[in-house]
Amino acid sequence: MVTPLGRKLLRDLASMRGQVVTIALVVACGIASYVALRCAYVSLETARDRHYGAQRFGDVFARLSRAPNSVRAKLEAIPGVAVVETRVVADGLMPLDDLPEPAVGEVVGLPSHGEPRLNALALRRGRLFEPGRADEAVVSEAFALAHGLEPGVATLPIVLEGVMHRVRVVGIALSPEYVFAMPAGSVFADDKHFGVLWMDGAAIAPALKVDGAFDDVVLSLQRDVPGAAGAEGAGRVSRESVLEAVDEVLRPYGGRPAYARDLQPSHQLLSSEFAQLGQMTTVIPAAFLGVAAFLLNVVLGRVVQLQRGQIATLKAVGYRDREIALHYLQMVTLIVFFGAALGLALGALLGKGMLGLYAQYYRFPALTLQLPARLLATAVLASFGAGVLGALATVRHIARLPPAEAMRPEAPAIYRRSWLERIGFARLLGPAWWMVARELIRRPLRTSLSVFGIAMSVAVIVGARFTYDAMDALLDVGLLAGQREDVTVAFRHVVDDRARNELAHLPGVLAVEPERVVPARLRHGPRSRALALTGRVDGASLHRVVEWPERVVTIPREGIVITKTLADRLGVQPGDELEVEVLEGARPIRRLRVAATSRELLGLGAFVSLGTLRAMLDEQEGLNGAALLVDPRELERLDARLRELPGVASVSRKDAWVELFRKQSTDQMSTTTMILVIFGATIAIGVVYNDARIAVSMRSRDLATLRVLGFTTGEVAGIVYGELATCVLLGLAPGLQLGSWLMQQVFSGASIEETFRMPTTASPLTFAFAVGIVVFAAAFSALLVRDRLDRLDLVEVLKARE
Amino acid sequence: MAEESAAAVLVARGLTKIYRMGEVDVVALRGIDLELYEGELVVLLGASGSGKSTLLNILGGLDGPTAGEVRWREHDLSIADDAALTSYRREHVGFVFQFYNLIPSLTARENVALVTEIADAPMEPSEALDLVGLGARMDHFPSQLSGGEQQRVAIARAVAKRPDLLLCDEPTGALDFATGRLVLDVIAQVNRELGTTTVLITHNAPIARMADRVVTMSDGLIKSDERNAAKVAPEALSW
Ligand SMILES: Nc1ncnc2c1ncn2[C@@H]1O[C@H](COP(=O)(O)OP(=O)(O)O)[C@@H](O)[C@H]1O
Ligand SMILES: [Mg+2]
Repeated sequence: MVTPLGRKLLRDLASMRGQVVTIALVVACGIASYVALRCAYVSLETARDRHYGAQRFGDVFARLSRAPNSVRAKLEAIPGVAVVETRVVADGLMPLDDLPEPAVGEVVGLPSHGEPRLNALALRRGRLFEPGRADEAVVSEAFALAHGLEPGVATLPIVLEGVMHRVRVVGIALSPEYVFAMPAGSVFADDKHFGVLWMDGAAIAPALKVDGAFDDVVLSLQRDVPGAAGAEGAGRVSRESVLEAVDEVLRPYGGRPAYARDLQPSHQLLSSEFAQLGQMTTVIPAAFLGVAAFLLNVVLGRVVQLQRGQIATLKAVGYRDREIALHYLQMVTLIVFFGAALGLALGALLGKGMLGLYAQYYRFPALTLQLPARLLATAVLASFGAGVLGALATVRHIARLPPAEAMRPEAPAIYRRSWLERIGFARLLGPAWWMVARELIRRPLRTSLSVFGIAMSVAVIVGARFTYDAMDALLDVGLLAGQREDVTVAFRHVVDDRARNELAHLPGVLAVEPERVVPARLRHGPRSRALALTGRVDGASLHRVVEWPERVVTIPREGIVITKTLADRLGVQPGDELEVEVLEGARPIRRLRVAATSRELLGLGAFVSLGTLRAMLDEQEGLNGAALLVDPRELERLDARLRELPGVASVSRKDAWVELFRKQSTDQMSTTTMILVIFGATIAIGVVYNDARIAVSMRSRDLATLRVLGFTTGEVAGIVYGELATCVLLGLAPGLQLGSWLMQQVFSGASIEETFRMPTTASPLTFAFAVGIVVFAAAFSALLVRDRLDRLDLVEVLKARE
Repeated sequence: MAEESAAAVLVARGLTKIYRMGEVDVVALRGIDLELYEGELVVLLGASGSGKSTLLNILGGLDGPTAGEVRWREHDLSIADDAALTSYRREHVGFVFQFYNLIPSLTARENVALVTEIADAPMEPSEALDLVGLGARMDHFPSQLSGGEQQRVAIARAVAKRPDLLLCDEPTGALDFATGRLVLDVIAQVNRELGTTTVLITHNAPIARMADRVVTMSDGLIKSDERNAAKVAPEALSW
């Protein structure tokens, strides 16, 4: 049975449904963002752990120059070691038509039957390579998707030890070792530039010149070794003791320090990405729930003020403070409940969508949405917490309200001349503005909270559109300013300098800039990274390193220039020395001083002067690529000519990849952006609509009196709207600031910049977009109350209450 | 019908009430001595601002005195805390206010149920509404009732819990003459049929003729306290 107070509750809520709905929606946004982000997070972790388990991800990893296969037994004999997998891992460059620079292919040798005991493959499509075939490879999924490789159809060119091979893609797979193909937030990244080719290790050994030997080790620890996956025990054997023993065994074979899972590149990146994601799962929902708490506070405060008489009556007839407070808490609870229910449903839906997006960054065999009950309960509890927080002040107010005093109508509000008026400001504006200014200054807390709410909404929308700015900046500075060529050509073999002249004489070619690109591994202490090392001619003007915002970094005669992201990853600064190992030919190793780091927007890159590279390689001349500036009218013809040349491995056209890039980035961003814009607008509507309702209700007497005195409805509306407009205007600028700041926080995190450095300011267009949406949402909400202003009861005002 | 010899249920001694309004002190009661006897109907008469409501609020446990003592049977209300005063109101007192103070979002029956819900041995809400002659309009909202009807609902709400004390503050203040008389009739009837000790505030001297006893206040003091020998039924009143 519903008690009389219960009925009152439901009817009160029904009569304020506009406010109920707008607040519930803000709550729903908070819950939805929490559920979506958090569930996505939990789902990712679960998927990762399952992947690691099912594909037997190793615990300890080591690289070495080369050791005979017999050494494996020594590794197996180390106490605490469970399984040892030895293999060959080699990097080669892959010149591809759809990239201006060659991609790096990492060839991983597997047992001929394709089923290693550690770091196994999760085959997604196609099949494993046939035992004994050196020309078949299973390719990493991210790379295959980025280039549209079809198993059984596609072939890849890869230069191994200076010899170009054509490898047939027979399957597509995932491995726990290479989960992290592309960091979140980046759109155009390593997926294209880095692929893994799993091949029959024995079959390709000759091509890699490592017959009967291995250069890479993966091992797992026994379950009882502390630090092993899932281990708890504490014996004499520790993870550290195993690492030391492995180093001991491999030292004669050019072994590099072995490292455990926490330093394994993919796992390390994944961990820091997840940590950042975890942070986001609290910041964003907290902001929404904060706004919701504020709205509830304002609205409930007003309801209680309007119901002073009713509260007094309840007290007079013997209801206890606790019972009355509970009644109003229930009001809040119900609003929150509507919001939470909607938020949970929405959150599950969004979570599924987000997971779809994350699936492009983190590749797991099975990424399914987890909705743990505890998490959902936490979300609901948090929203109720926000509700109670918002209601707290009011509940205290109810308890303080003396039953006798409340029987009287409320005394006129106390106004004072504000500092604005004292400095003569208001005189400039006229009496209507005094009313506005006094109203705002009389309740500084509510005014500032409203301003904050608007700022939040602007910030969310700035955040939403910011990714577009980042893409534009990326394209303008990261790509277009650095890549001013029209066509990039890669040769099958190193050719001599005459090739440059031949290119220059082709029809339509306006300028030629030769390049020498080699696969290299850069090392600093235990950290290393394989990538394409580019040697550029002095004063290169087509391919340049361009630093954000728009400064060309010159490549010095001596030393190496690397991108800041790469420098961070390797832990070096300008002035430090790097070890650079060329991964082909005589595999020369040199130490080069880092001359400069460039804050390039895009990716990991390493550049030396052509002279430096030739000195390293001990070559007099020679190049294997060139950037061409082309007369646009001749572009098609030249493209066709180039492809006919036997020495040309790939022809990459800028117009083609720019378009591809645009398409990919807008595809991925539009949904997220839309959702965030809706969230932001919801906050704006929630704040402005409730402020408007309260302004009208609190001042209906004053406003009606003005109408009686002869003010038009328009003039009266102007006073209320003046108040709202002032709050909105005050909130815009801080909102833009807050939005930029939030984006910096989100994107300045640890590893997100692996291949992509975000610019740090939003564009004027984004600011205009955010301001436009918020102003529109505010105007819309304000119009919803216009009706109430027009229906002010003039007669009721004139009836005195005592 | 109370005798002087009947037990005094409520006793006030030396009540003063000072409202502190910033710099100024407003003295509303300047030392009131008063007894209320079981079952009597007392009319409290006085000009506006003389302190009637203040006194009634203190007698009803809505407010505490600045000095002095109020006893409800053996309970000292002047030293009672908030919770004790609430219990006192909940168990013993029924209020009727000038502006009815109905909950606008509840129907007549629900307004009454609001009180029967928390009372010990209440009437059925419908019984209370029948008592005030509104049995037929139980499911109307306050906005659908006239002022007199609303006030009768308020009376039904006050008496439904069978209070020991019925306190009415200018119950006819907002009503026209004929309607007001109807309301007074209901109050007299409740006093008569249920034997509820009743205090009725008014600034209309003629209404005093329906009382067992008339207490006159002026400037925070009791000016006179007389038995009304010629008690008449409310129908006979005019003002
Ligand atoms: N809450 C209050 N604060 C300040 N002064 C009050 C308050 N309530 C009543 N008064 C003052 O106390 C005096 C008595 O008021 P009241 O008891 O309401 O008189 P009555 O009901 O006889 O008209 C009046 O002067 C009134 O202004
Ligand atoms: Mg009064």
